[in-house]
Amino acid sequence: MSLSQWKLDYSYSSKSCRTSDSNFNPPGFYSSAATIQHTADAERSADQHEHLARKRAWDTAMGPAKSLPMNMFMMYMAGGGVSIFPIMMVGMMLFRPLKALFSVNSTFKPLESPATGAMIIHKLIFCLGNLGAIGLAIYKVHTMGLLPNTPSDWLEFIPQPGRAQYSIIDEVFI
Amino acid sequence: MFFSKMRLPLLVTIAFFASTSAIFEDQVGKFDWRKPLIGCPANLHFDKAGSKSDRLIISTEQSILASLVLNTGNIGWRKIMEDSSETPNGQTFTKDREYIYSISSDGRSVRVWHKNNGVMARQLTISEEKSSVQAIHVAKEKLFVASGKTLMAYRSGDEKPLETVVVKKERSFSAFFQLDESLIHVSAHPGDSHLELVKINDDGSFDSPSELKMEGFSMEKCHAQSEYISCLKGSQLLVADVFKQKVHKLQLDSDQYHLHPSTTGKLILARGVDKLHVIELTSESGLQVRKTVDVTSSEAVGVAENHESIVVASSDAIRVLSVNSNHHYSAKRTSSEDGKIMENSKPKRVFARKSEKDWEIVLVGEDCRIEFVTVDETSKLVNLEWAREESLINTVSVEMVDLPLSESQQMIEDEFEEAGNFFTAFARRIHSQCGQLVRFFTKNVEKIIHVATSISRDGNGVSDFINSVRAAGQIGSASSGPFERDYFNLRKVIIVVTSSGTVFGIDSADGQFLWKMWLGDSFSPLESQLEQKRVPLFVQRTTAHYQLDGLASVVFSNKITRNGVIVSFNPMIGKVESRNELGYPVKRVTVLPVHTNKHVYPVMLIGKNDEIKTFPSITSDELTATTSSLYLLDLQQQSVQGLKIDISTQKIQPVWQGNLGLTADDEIVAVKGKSFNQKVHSQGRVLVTREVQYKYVNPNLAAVASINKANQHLTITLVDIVTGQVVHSAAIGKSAKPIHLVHSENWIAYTYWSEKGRRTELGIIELYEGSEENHTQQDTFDSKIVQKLPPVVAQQSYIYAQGVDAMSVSETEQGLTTRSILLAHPSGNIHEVSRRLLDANRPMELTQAMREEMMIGYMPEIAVATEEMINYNQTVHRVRGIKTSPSGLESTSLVLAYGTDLFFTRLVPSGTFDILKDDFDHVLISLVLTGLVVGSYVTKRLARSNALASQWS
Repeated sequence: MSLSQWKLDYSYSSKSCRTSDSNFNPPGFYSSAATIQHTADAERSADQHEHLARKRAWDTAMGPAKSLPMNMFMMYMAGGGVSIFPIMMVGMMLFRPLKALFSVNSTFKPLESPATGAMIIHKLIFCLGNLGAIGLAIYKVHTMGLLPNTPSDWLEFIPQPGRAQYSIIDEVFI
Repeated sequence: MFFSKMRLPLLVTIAFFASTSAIFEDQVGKFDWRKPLIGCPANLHFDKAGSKSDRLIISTEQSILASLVLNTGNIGWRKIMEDSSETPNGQTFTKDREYIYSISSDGRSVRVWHKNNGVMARQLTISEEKSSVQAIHVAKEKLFVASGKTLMAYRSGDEKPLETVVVKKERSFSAFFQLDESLIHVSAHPGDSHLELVKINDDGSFDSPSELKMEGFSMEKCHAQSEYISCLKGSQLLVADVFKQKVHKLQLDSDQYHLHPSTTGKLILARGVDKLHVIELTSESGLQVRKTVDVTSSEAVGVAENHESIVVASSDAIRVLSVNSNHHYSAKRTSSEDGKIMENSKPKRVFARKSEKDWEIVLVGEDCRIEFVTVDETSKLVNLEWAREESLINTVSVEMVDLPLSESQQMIEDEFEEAGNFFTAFARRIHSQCGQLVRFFTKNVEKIIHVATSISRDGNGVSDFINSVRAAGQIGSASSGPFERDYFNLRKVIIVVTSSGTVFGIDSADGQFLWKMWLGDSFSPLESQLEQKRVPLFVQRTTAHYQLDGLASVVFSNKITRNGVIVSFNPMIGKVESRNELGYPVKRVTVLPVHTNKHVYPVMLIGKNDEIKTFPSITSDELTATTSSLYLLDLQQQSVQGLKIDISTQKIQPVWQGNLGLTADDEIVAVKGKSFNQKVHSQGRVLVTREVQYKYVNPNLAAVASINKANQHLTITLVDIVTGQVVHSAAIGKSAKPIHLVHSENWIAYTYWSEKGRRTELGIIELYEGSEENHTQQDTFDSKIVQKLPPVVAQQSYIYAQGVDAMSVSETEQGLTTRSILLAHPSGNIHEVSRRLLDANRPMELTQAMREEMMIGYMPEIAVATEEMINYNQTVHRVRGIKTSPSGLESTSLVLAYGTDLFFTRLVPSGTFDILKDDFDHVLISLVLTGLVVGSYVTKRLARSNALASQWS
């Protein structure tokens, strides 16, 4: 959606065009001056355009990172209990950035322009922001006690030790 | 205030858990059965209850007075008296038309029972002193009682005695005699050579005593009946006529005779080695041998109650001989068991009565089997009316054995058993699956036939149909099914060994006898150090190896030689495989933890002088490095030894010696170890902080409970058998017997009587290795490797508001389910206490985190709720032991409680989490499902035709 898809070119003149003959021009009108003027305006708007595109790219790249504090607050409000709503929220928290990570290129495709270039840094920052969100979600899962990261979670897999000696406790008769 | 606040949520949680363990009304009798028993009969009377059916009044050696319905053999009523250390209670009894009068509580009181229903009419206190010399008689509306030194007379229905006489000297014999109207009490004092006769007057008063000289009177050689007291003195028979006060003498041909006990009436029976003299006392000619009968040692003799006849019974025939004439006949007994092995002992006692049509005979075997037979005189046939196996009351050892693999399971085993190439394996697979298909079809055809027959039999209503379809789903568990393992391995063969010398195989599905074994007349149980009768039973090979039969063994001693005897048998059918008598008395007996090439775990018998023998013998190449030597604990009072047995060289050598801190006052009351195949699923306990406390599971740990008589300390010492190291020792002050102890995984639970609190208390000790730092992951537990730190011990005591008769712990297949402790109450209940409640780590103060983890805070009492009784209203009296066994389902444990009754049930300590609920309605749910599917198809069609019609219109 480039802003400069079409433009009015005042500098163009031909013989058939009335403007080429300066005699017919109203007093005070100089077509060459207008052309210069227009050219200057066009130059300025292209500049602005580039700036805007860059800004948009940065906005997109910083989006995930910017929403982190809000997410943090939300996660805090969700509480540590393992019930349906916190789990749903944490799930969303985990899956949205994941999805975003898989579609980095398609996210930045519309922003591509000669001005923005390859947007490697943007993409990197975007990824980092999403990873941060995932990290936050994982931390939340951890505080909820759902991560099997302590020995107690693997306790049931410890085999029963064998025995080096056999002993017998029985009754003594006589 | 604080406590009341804390308790309410606790009670709610407890009630929540409790409600899950109770059973529903329609589940009554579905998984459980009970066998009420009465015990070995000591006294037996035929009784006619007016117009109602006949019955037997029996008093038994187990202090039970019972009435059996003569037609069916069922218990009409049963009164369980106090257990006595000397003579059983309730054996001395008499009856009149309406009541039964028995002397109870060791000769201190008389109890009067209604004959019809066994309701106690009244109880009279007769003496303060215990005595086993008792006599009771009822005559002329009066009740006469003699117990110990007292002699009393009561008017019927009165609470106060008419007259009481207390003599100064102890009596050794006491009996009442009645002839027509005159009544005499005869007693003897130990050491005197005369009998003391007291005449009783019509008004109930006692005359002054007179004496009758009777030399060499002793209770063992004498017998009292109707009017006589007869004694054997060498080869001389002395008979004292009580009413004529005269002693008659008769010379017998040898001194091998003994007087036949429990004879009533006027005939005196003297039994020799191979003959029986029937002696009568007549006024004209004195003592006279009326008849001599040849009897063998395997025959039992009895006198008919109401007819002058002698009944001689052996295992295979019954002879009836008339005393007055030469008339006699013999009837053959036939065993009616269909293919089952049912070995009965020879009869011990015979009680007979002549009715109008035939002879009614009750036979009591050496194995306490009560048999009621009728003998028809004309057809000479013995009809077995009913039989009761009363030796089960003496159950000492129980094991539960899996049933053999079913045919389809065997096929699967077969398939993987033999190696072969690709094609043979494929052929085997096809073959076994064809077999499964055939089995499936035959089973279903059988089922359909069963349903069809039951529908045609039961009627044709819809509810009948549904009921019969439901019932058809359950025939696998009933006795009609084949004798094979069920899907969840819930049906087992229970092997029960009694101290009377019988072994039973009982089907756990319904309590039927599958087989019975009699261990022989020379059977005698082993006596343990704690003075208990024991008959060790070992399952040496289970039925898991389908090509090989199961094998089990019992060990007992020979009554005459005292040598050990080991009998091996097939636990499924009760067939004896081998019987070996050792050349020495057995001191200790155990099963080895290693099996032979034929998958048999050998039984090792150690003799008095440390002779070692294994059955079957094991070669040294079958032993592994860890099993070649075993460690044993040798406990004598005050000195404790650790022994090491080298199986290959058969040598015993002491390893360590000590006294465990036991002094002369200490008495060891219980020693408990763990079975060597106990499974511990979880190796630790998770704390609230998500840290782990690792369990200290030492397989070589023995728990020794001892009581100090001087200062009443109960000491529980945990000792490592291999090294002799005392791991932990706990002392509980002011405690007394009874003490029960269970030892499982890493904990020991015990009950004791607290003298201080005057109540029963339940204690628990748990051992932990401590947290992660102290735990090193090991593949094997080696007692000889020293632990860095001693184990961390957690202990706690709880109040238990009931007495405890027996204590046990549930066993499940993988040890994953939370265990339950089973406690048998003297009142006849069996209470299930979850380990969640009996926990040494219940916190004093519950935090929010603990509450989230569903922990239960400490409360001093363990509540005894009626819903937690696993036997609901089926009371089980005098429980001596509870045997638990795992089933194929992890959630389910099988339980057999034995004592005066046998009670079997399934136990689900954490609920049935691995199968559908018992009342899950398969029929309804499949009906609804098919209805929905059919409905959706129908509506689809309807909708389509509707749409078409609307387009046309």
